[in-house]
Amino acid sequence: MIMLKNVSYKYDETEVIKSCSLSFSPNEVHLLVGPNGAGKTTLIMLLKGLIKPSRGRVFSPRGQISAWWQKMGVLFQFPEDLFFNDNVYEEIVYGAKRFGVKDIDRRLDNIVDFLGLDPEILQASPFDLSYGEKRIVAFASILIWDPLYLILDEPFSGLDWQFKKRLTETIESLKDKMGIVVISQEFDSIISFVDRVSLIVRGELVFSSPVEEVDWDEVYEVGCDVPSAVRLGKKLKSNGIELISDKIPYTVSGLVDALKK
Amino acid sequence: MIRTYSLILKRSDNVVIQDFNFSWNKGENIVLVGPNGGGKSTLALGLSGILPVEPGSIVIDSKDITDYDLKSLRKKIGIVFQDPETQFVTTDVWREIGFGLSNIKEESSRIKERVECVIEDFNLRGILDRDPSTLSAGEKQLVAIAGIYAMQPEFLIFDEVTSYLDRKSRERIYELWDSIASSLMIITQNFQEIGFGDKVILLDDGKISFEAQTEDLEGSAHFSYDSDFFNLLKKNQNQIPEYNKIVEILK
Repeated sequence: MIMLKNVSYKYDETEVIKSCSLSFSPNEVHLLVGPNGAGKTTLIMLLKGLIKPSRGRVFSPRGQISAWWQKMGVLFQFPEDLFFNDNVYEEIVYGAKRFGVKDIDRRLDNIVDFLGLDPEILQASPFDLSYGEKRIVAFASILIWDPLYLILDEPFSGLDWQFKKRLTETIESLKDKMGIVVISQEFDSIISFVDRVSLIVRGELVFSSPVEEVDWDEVYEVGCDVPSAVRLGKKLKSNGIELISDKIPYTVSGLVDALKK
Repeated sequence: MIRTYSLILKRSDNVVIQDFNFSWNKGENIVLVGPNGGGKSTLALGLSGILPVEPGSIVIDSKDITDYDLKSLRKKIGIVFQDPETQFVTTDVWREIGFGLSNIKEESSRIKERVECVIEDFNLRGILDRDPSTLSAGEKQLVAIAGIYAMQPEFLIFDEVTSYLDRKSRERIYELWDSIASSLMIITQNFQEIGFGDKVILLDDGKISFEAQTEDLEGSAHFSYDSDFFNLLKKNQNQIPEYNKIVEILK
């Protein structure tokens, strides 16, 4: 478990994170939602230890995870902008080499296989890949060193349907192996396997609750999207179509069930 | 009007757009969709004169693109990218909006007049002194658009500009598109943005694989889950909103 306790952070004189207390469990998919500029990316930089809190602390309870910040793999927005190696192989193994990870080539084979990458692209320049392939390569460069937590900042941005699906399936297959934190404005594809949702607005935590208990109206009102099942469920209700539950299901399959019954 | 004749565009020696013939009428709004790597951004860079044409030609208002100087080309066509930070070069919003104009050597009185006008149009008065890099993603994108819009290009390309914006910021861009509503090219993975076009073009493997007037796509026949249009999109691995599955169940 990684915890933020009363954490605040200032950029110059502006407090962008305000006394935020939040915990991140292993084996949990935790979705951070909030309007652009709410402080979500700053929060994950605190979580990764890239910046230090102005007040409060980020920690793992005694005896749980030592040097936790080294075990967090972060996929930042537009990760492909950070490429600098001559070929895909070097790009993927760069971080693992720096961390002194052993058995790199065996791990690389596993990752290439797991992510469905064409082994031939390992010798290609990362700059020549398609947009979607670049994102998968950036993802591979993190997974190869087995992080305990995977933090994904807008991982679907700019991806087409095929790559969104591929990345969604990959994230889902990792959810029992590591803690996953996702920041996304387009979370429709992952909402069916999200465990917890936290809403951040103007640097403050509005709520952190299990996905089943989320008040989606509150999420909508601060300027974010809500799952399309919720949006459609509301429209159906307002057009007099009955659903079996008072609370509108947040997944497509949940809504279909509520309609069938 | 912009026309391409047997256009070929390359990225790092790879042919991305091949033998491409296309026209974009003044006033016409085009939505360009298609898979990653299909050539959308490459076409946008080519049309805006950023990538060299080799071979083939791009003709803008009866004049070859290579015959334009930078100033007159930027007044013809502007482009806004997905990641606005790649466009920022100054440290305050006012200068950022005016940068494009000063880069094409407009007179300072003209720059001032245009920047002030755009600030009002885009409602940016409250953030003028801020460093663009410290703005929220939605604000950054608006500033990037404002900087291009200030040059009053006749044709304007938006390359996936809403893809990581929150709902409210996205709706603000939509309002802007509604208010400009002329000679826009909107490149998107968001199926809901198709409605902003008079024409929708699906670009795959560097070629147009589907093209239709948007009004011909309206109505349930085209948007049902097993329509030709959807099958084509599926085949081309494009985005299909999940709620269409529910719409189908409800039929």
